[in-house]
Amino acid sequence: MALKEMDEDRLIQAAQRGSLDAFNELVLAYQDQVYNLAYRIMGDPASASDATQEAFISAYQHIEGFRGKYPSSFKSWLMRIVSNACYDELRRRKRHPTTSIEDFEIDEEANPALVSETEGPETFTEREEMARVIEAGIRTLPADQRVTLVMADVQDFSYQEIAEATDSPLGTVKSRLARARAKLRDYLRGRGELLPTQYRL
Amino acid sequence: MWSLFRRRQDKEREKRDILLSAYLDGELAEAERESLERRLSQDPILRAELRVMQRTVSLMHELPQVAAPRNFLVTESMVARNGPVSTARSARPEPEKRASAWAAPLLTAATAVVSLLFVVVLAGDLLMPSLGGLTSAPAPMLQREEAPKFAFEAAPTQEAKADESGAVDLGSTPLPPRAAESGDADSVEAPEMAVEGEEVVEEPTSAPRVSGEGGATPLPAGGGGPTEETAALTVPTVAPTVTAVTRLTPTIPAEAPVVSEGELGLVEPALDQLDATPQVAREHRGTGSLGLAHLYWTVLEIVLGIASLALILATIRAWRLRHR
Repeated sequence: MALKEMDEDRLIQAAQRGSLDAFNELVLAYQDQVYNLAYRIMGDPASASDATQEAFISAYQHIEGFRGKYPSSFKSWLMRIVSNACYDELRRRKRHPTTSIEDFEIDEEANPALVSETEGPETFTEREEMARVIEAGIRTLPADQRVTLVMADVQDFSYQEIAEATDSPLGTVKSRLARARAKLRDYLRGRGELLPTQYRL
Repeated sequence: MWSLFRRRQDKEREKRDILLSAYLDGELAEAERESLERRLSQDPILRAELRVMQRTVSLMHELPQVAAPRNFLVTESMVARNGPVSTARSARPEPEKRASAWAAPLLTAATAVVSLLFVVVLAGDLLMPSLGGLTSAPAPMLQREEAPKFAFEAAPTQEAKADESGAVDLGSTPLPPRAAESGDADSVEAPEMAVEGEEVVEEPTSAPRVSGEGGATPLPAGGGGPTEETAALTVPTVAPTVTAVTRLTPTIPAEAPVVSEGELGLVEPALDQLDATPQVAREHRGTGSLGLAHLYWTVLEIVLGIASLALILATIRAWRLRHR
C-alpha cells in the first residue's frame, strides 16, 4: 500500500495528536519494508517480527518529535528505528551468545514469504537458492557490519544516513561497509557451487 | 617474517577493498576517484576485483523482498505495556534501574554492617552473664531460691501440725503419693502448677495434696474440720502449690482469703497470669534495673533483626534489577 505525500503528512500529524488509527495506516503502508529490513539483518522470521513490532511501538511513542528533529523522510526515520532495534538485539546476543554452528549454515527449511510478482517458477527457485546462500553469508558478519551492509545494499541508505542511524563516524561506516562486502564476497567465492550459474561471482 | 609479510598484504587488500567499495557508491573524493580510475585502466587484476565487488553488491540488491507475515498494528495495550520509551538506541535505563546501579553495592554494604551488628548484639545477649543469665535461666533460679524457703518454713509447721492433729490428718485422707497428679487431668492449668508444687514442696505433701483430692472427691463433713484447720496452718508457707490447687476445688475458697492475707498475697496474681515467666519472676525478685536493660537489649535485637531482613531483601532486588 503506497501513500501519497499529502496523505502521509496528514496521517503523521494526526498520529502526532495521538490518533492511533492514523498511525496504524502508516504501519500498514510501511510494514513490508520495515519487516524486510529486519529480516535481512536478523536472518530469521521470529526475530524480524519482534524487531518490527518493537520498532512500530517505539515510532508511535516518539512520533511527536519526528518533524524538524529528523531531516530524513518518515520512511528513513522508521528504517533507522528498526535497524537500531536489530543492532541492539544483535549486540545483546553477542553479550549473551546462544549461537550454534547451525546459525552459519544454509537454512534449507527457511521459507520467508518472498515477493514474486513477475518471474516464472524456475527463476523464482533459483533466486530463492541465491537468497539462502547470501543470507547465510550475512549471518557470518559481526553485528555492526551486518547492519551497515543491509542498510546500504538492501535499503540504499547513504553513508551519511547510516552514520546517523548507527551513531558512527562517516569513515567508520565506509570501512565497515567495505569489510562487510569483502567478507561476503569471499564467502560467496568459497561457495560458488551452491549458487545458480547466473549468480556466481 | 612470513606473518609480517602476510599482515602487510592483508592491510593492502583491505585498503583496496575500501577504495573499490566507496568507488561503487560514488563516495570517493574527486582526487581519490581519479587516482583509482588511472590505476584501474592499467591494472587488469584490480579491474577484476572491482567486477567481483560490484557483483556482490548487485546480488544484495537482487535479494527478493520479504513480505510481512502479519500486520504489525499498534494497540493501546502495547503502548501502555511498553511504557513511554523503547527505541533501542534512544532508550535510557529506567530511573529504578539506574538507581540500582549504585544502590546495589551500597545496600550490600549496609546489609553487611547491620547484619554484623545484629550478630554482635545477639551474641552479647547469649554470652554476657548480666543479660544472657537472665534470659536463659530465670525459672530454675526462681525455683531453686524459693523452694528451700518454702520447705524450711513448711517443715516445722508441718511437724507442729502433725503433733497437734496426729493421725487424723493423714488417716482421714489416705492419699496415694500421686493423687495430685491424677487430679490434674481435670484442668488445663493444673499440670504446670502441680509440677511446680511437687518440686517446691517435697516434704509437706499432705496439705496441698489433700486439697487437690478434695476437689475431685468432696470431703466428708466430719473429716473436714481438722483438715481445714491443718490447711490454715500450713498454707501460708506452701502458698504456690495451694493457690494452684484451690482454683480447682470448691471446698478451698473458704480458705483462700486466709491464704491471700498472708505473706504471699503478691505471688498469687503473678502465678495466675503466667506460671513464673522470666520477666514477672525477675520483677518479683526485685531485679528491675537489669530487667529494663534486658528489655532494651531485646528491642534492639528485634529492630536489628527486622532491619537485616529488610536490607537483605532490598539488596537481592537491587542486584536483580541491575543484572536484568
